[in-house]
Amino acid sequence: MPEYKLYYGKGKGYGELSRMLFALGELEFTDVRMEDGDEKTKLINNSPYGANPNFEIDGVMYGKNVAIARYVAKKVDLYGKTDIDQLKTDAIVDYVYQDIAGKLLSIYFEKDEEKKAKLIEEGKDFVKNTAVGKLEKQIEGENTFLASGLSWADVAVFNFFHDLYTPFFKEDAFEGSPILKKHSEHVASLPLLKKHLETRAVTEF
Amino acid sequence: MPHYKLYYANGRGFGELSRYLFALAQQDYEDIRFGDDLKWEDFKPSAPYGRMPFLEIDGERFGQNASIARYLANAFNLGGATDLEKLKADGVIDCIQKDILSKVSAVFRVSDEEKKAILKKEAYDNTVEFYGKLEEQVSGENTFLKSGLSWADIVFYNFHTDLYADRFDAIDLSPTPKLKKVIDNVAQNEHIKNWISKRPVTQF
Repeated sequence: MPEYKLYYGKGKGYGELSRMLFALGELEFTDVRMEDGDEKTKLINNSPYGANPNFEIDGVMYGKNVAIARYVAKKVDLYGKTDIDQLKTDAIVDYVYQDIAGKLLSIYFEKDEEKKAKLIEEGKDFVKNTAVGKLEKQIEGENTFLASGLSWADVAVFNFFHDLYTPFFKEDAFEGSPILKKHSEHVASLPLLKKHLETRAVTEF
Repeated sequence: MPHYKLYYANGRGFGELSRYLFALAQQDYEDIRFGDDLKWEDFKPSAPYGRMPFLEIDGERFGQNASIARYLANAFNLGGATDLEKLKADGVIDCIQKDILSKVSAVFRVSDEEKKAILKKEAYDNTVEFYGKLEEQVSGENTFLKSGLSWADIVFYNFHTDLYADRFDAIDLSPTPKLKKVIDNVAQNEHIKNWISKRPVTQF
């Protein structure tokens, strides 16, 4: 069994998807949650792409949160069983982390309050009127994106909206989407994920 | 063998990545290009994720450029030999698509010339910084992966040659000799050379 070490900050952020996948697969790993400081800065500067999360497998470091999560998904059998199903999950996860998160992340760092307020409204509008519809279309199973059952795409969508979108925008993106609301409830109710949600560290993001 | 149809603009850009993969595999496909005869506006409402390129496989349509390319790469034995190699390749792809391209794309969203110039410089500096990081990821003699040519090399070649080149200050590859070897290895590939000689000549 390889030794897995996930390096991230103390929060959920972009590290949480992999943590959830490890939990769902009951796969052991070392959850390194670093305080801001010299040690964390040094790790980040020496890491493959200069940012956390980083993932150490038997002493070798790998970067990029979605790449890491895809690897973990494979190890816990949540990547999809066919190449077409895997393609579907890849597209959903990239849509969330590239198209949606990419658009919204800059808002978090915007210093100008007026500009920030405008960006927030635009962000909410994009999510509710465009992104939610696109994600709804991808649901092919009973509360899962794949007809064959649970995959990392379900976890990714749940994680992003539950842990990042809602706390930041202070509203439920799925208010107008019974399909995605049910989807979220289903994912949250999975015994291993429920246990993870109940026992994980409480952080703002 | 599945029936493939790739839908993209009449240009290289993001679509060219999949076209290179089809060429390397010598795999037949329909290379569908939007233009006056085939309007993108007519396809956009039903296109997966509302964007191009999208790939039709035996009549079913799939979107998201990197996801499509990963599917093709795996189908054509260009995905990497092990899960660890695939993880490495995925990291390279995400670095290019997210860390590097985000600053490059930002330039195109701005029309004010002064602002554009500032963003162009940022894009250049950012690209140089990440080329330094990608240099350290080259594990083979002239390929990102030890096992040989993979889509990681093609994604890098596509970025450097089709997406970045001609629009920004040229990047000198001498500080990153391994990346230069990656580029040269792709450029010298028979199937790539053959495709480049046959493909429609477009500005971008």
